[in-house]
Amino acid sequence: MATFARTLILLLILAGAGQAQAAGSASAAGFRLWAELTPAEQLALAPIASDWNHLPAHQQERLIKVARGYPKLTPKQQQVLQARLVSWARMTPEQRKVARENYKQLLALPAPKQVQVKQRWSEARGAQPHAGEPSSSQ
Amino acid sequence: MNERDFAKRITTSLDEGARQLDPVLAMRLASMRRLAVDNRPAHYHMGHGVAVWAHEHPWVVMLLAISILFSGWLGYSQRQTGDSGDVDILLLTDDLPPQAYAERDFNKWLHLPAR
Repeated sequence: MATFARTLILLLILAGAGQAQAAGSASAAGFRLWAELTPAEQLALAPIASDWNHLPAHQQERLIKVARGYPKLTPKQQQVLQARLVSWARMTPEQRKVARENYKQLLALPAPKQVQVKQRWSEARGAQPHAGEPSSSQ
Repeated sequence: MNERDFAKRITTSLDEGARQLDPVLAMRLASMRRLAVDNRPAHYHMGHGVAVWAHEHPWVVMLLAISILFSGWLGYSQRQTGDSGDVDILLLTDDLPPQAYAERDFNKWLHLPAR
């Protein structure tokens, strides 16, 4: 009984240590040079090519996830995304965190309420929706 | 005097008392004890053994608890990281620019009453 309990406890401790090591390794291995990205990733992240090698690993990982979703977007959505990438990448981590939290709160609302929130914000700022899109004159 | 010595003194005293019991009464007590032991739940002894072992090795229990908590925290952190890829792409293609959602007081718009 004691031997079984000791073996079980040792296995659980090793499992925890293994998971910790895996997480640490993932973070350390997350940094990639621009030249190491796939062509598809480079296409999606082209607007931030000059900034890429200076970004921290965790930010690169999140942007690579964005790049992997890029082919599934419509051409219009791809255009909007690329127009916003530079300013997004240059925001502070705290600003991006606040943006994500606020956005998740918006997504928790019913769809009609989400539309209303966006309309009210736009009216208050005198802005049009899709304010990040390139202007038609470009 | 530690707990073991104290327990030994008690059992010695009880044994002495049992030896002075009426033989018929002692036999009846013994048969009732056997009946009670035979009818105890099968898992009782195993659970009791683990509890005693854990009491004698508190550092192992503590390490186990820390390991479980740490694993849980890691799992939670990794799930958070996993979520952000989907949220980011939605943010970057939303009707409003990301700067809107980055405003600290943005959530006031979330709580306005319906028109």
